[in-house]
Amino acid sequence: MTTASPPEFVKRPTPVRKANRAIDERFGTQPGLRRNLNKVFPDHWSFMIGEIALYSFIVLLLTGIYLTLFFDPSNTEVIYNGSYVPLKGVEMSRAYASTLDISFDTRAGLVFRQIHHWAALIFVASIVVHLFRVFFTGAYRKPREVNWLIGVGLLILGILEGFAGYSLPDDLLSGTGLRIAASIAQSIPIIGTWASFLVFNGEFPGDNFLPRLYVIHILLVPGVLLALIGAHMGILWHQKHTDFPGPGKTEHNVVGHRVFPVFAVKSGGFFMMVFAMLALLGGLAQINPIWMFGPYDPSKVSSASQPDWYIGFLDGSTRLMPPWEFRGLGHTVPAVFWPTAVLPGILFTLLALYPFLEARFTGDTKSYNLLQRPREAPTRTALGAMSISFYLVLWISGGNDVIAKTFSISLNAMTWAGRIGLIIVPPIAYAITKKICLSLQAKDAEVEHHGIETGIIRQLSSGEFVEDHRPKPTPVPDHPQVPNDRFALPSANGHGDGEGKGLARRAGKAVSGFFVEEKETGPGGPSTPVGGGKH
Amino acid sequence: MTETSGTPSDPPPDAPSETSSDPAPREVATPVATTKRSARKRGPAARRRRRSSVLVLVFGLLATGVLWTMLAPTGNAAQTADANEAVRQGRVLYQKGCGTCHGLGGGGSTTGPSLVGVGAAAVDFQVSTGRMPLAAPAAQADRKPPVYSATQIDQLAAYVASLGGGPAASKVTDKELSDADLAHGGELYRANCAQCHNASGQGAPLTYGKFAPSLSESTPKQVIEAMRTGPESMPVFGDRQLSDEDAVAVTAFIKHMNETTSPGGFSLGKYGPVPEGLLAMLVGIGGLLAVCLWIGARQKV
Amino acid sequence: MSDQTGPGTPGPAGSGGGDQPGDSVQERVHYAGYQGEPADKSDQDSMSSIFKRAKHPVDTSGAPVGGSGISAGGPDVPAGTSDGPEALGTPPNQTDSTRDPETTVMRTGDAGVAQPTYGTHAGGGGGLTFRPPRAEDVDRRAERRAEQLIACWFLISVVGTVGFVITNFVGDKHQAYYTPCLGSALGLAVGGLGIGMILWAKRLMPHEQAVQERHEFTSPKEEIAVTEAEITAGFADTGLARFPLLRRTLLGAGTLLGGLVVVPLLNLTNSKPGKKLDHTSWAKGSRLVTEDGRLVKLGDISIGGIETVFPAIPVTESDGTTTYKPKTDVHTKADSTTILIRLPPGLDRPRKGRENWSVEGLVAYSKICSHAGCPVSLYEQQTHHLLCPCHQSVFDVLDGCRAIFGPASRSLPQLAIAADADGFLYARNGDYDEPVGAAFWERS
Repeated sequence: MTTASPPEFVKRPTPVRKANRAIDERFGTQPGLRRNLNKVFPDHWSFMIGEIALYSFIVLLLTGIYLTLFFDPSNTEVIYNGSYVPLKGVEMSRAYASTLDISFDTRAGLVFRQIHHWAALIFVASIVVHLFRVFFTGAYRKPREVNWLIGVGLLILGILEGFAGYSLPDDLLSGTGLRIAASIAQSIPIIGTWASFLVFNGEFPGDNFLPRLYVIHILLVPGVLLALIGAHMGILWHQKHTDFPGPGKTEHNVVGHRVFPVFAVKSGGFFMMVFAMLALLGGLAQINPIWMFGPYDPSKVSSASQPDWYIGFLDGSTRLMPPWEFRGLGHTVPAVFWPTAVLPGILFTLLALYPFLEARFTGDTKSYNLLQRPREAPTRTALGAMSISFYLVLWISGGNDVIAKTFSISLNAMTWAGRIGLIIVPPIAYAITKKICLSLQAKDAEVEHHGIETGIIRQLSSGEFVEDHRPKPTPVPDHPQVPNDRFALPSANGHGDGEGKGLARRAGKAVSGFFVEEKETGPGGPSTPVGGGKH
Repeated sequence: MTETSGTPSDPPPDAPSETSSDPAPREVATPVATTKRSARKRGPAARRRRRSSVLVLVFGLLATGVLWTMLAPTGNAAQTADANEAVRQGRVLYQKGCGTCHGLGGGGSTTGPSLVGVGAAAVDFQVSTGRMPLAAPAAQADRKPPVYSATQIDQLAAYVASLGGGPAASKVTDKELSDADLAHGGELYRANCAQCHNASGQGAPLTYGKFAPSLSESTPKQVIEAMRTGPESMPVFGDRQLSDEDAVAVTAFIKHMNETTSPGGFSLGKYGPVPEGLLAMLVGIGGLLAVCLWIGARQKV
Repeated sequence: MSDQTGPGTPGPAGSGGGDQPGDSVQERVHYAGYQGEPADKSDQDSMSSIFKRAKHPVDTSGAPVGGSGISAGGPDVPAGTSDGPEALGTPPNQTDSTRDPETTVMRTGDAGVAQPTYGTHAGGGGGLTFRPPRAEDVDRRAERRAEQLIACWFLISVVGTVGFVITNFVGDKHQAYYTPCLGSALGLAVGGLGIGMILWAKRLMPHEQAVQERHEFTSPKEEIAVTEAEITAGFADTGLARFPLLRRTLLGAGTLLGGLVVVPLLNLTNSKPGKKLDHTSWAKGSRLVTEDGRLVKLGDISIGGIETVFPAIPVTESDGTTTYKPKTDVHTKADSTTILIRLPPGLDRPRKGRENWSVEGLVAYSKICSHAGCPVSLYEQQTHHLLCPCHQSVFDVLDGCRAIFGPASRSLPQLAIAADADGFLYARNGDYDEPVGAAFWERS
């Protein structure tokens, strides 16, 4: 096989050029390389939130590798003889002892352990903030539903991975968490007892459970996470990033910086910034001081036994749950089953299915590359606010003992406030958010039609007072300007609710009606423009 | 008892023993006793308890007599004179500052429990932590700056001790504390104290507004006295359960916990995952979002 | 990327705005791609210019608008088009097409070039906007200062790295300063580099507005038809439709093999649940022992006191005497941990049939919460409430440890205790009469 000889070197053959040529001769990389270097990424700051998750994952891998070199995930009981005096001579598992050794007798051990833990908190937190961004801008819409699903999978796996890591050091806090996890597994109807025994290898605390958990934490879940992150990024790369509408931006282009050089340098710098934030947190803010909690002992407990923040909402739901246990026919469905297994199952299923539900009920099956501002989809935004408020009530309730102590509130009052709040806060959040969105829409439409109020009042010769309006300013980049016609939102078009028969059809219609955006009417609304810009 | 909502200026009843509804001798040390609700709930038991408190009083008076006869002949004359002087001074202080609620003779009243038999340890703990005199009736008394000087507290303690038995004020020394077995103390702490006071001594809420206080300001003396007397909601840890040596070890562990700098940086109140999560959100995510904004921001012209 | 000094490449300046380049030299022509290939002039006529496609929004019926996105040509046949400058609605003199088939790049801010216009150049449906030049673009000294600032941050990073290495090796790892110093140094090391890089990109790299086309993801109808036909034909070739026996046996075998995953799953535990959850280590006559091995006697616990106890199993020695072997291993603790509480006399209200389960005000209850298995141990000696710190269930000790608040719905199981002649406490009936800890399906 013969190949055409490559073009002569333009300049002197530097090593980089030579390497490039060498690689190209073997793999034919140039067109693909060039295409990818020229790939354009939009500039909006909110598009970098997902990068926080990616970069903290890299930090997690780096610090995690360091920790594996010193950690011994063994249940074997040993007598501690390290340099932490208050635990000298205490019986504990090898896992706990080696975590103490990492913290006190390994160079840079504690700082990397703490960076690892902070990175885990930030990893899940940034996924959640990224999810908010994607949700409220409608970025999950066709053709990006698959990436939404992968993202939800990443969130769930991130939570599982975090919980596994929190549980590994075998301290009093993590052991208490595992005990609750075992009780939750045990609470599943029919298979619960078996499930718990299979996971823990026997009755809690099981036989050599930590090595099993370790494999899950350092191999199984990270492997799947890595694969899913690869898929997430690959799909993003292939489908190109969404963008806010703006000058020169259409559904068919993407405007921004090319990967090389500006985007690459900025992103590289951002990775360094994420790493720096985690390093500063890891060095300056103590996290998970396992030496204070002591080794795990099923007969002991510390007050304020809390999980890390991402499990907090489940802890909260468990605390708020009334004592409703179902007994009958010789069987029991414990109260702990509903808030810890059923509730997250429903929440994550709804989350995963949301893009499909929205498409189904609005009948909107078009593809979109341009994002919406939250106000442009009031129902969606209000649903999001409702879900967030629901989550927040649970999350706050997960720390209600700490809040009660800090602010001298009765613990029982906190529990009741949470129970009531869980029912009444979300609908209020829904109503208020929807109202705000519709008012903002009206305001936008007004500015579009009449310009911006200047505050200058003039008296006309007729004696009438009018306020001067100046035209809407020229749009500048980074501030998406929404064309007027975008106020018309995907609404029920007769396709979305027309499927099925009978009850299903009627139900579909009813739900579709819920999704159809109503226009704000009355004074100030777009349908009744205020006459002549006068007020 | 707090439920009568009597103000401190109310004249104390003459026969406090009849009105005292303390359920048990153990609880006579409590400045604020059970709430109205729980008292009403346990109506059938109240009569029994009133009977038992009469018994307690009789027992207390008997014990006083016995102790008096036992203690009086011991020691030389000068020490006895000093002790008598302290008791005398203590009585003056007591009648001025405590008698209103606890009864002029220490027998308790509707607004305060009897102090007969609580011992010097309880007085020292309650007054040196500022819990007594009580500022206002609440679910639970909180620590505040003490009203009395150390000498005055000793005098008060001497007077109350003279009313009847109970554990003596702790005389733990720094030497004992530094010689104590920290690791053993830690084990005992986690077994007996951490469930309420938290693994790092930060305290925790109990039911209906009560709480286990933070130990960060507690002196070793106060810690031991609290263990021995079981103030308010706290269970009693007697010396047959925790030997003096054990008690000192626990105290040494608490002292170590309070005095050691956190090796991992700022300790975030040592409260575990809740402040950690908050910091991750506010500083971690907040800071990184600020960086995003900075990167995405347009140039200054 | 290099600039236009590449070997003889005219660039697609002849596209719509080809009459403009001479007008102004405010922008250097910029080529984003490799410079060796000639422009594909035919692209000018393509239906897929951004301008035209913008007027024909995405058709969801499946067929793509225009021919872009599916031209799967080799590397020597550039797919897509170069879009003419007007198509973007931008003044030609500020626009710079690239050789890249689908990316158009416009740059502002080249050194020494004043950029007078700012704002939208609305050509039709709204065009790209330009930022005003930065100080670094027009002022050589500002550029120099920016360079120095960035270099400064890079040097701070060096200081951080050196600090990290020194602290790591020279610092005393047992001192409280060690970890904060390492973290701060590492933060400086990576953060300095990060800030420097971001400043570099923001202040010194040319601003650009790159525009890239998006492709339709839907394949052309013919493509779909051909692919489907090939798959159908391939499936037919397998004969699965024609040979039902083959199909059914394959299905059966596959299903069975798939079911095999259950086997390793079941192997995950060596101990079947059976009745294990129903029992603890308490046996008849077990004495109550504390964690440090002290057998609990009457009077050890003051009124208002609590103690956590474990079983000490009676063992008959060869000489006929009985010794008590404390069981405080982790498995025993997980279900047999018991809390012993001394109530003031006369307060306890024992349940029917449990009147003699306590002795001298001492009551023993399982410490394992009936809700989720945490040790319930926050005992309030005035109200006689037991609070679980995990989910705040409250149990009333006086009323048989009935659950009175929070998510727990079952009382804590009570252990019947008695005192023997020597005053030692022991379990008079043996084990608890119901399972301890969290409930489960098999529980009635």
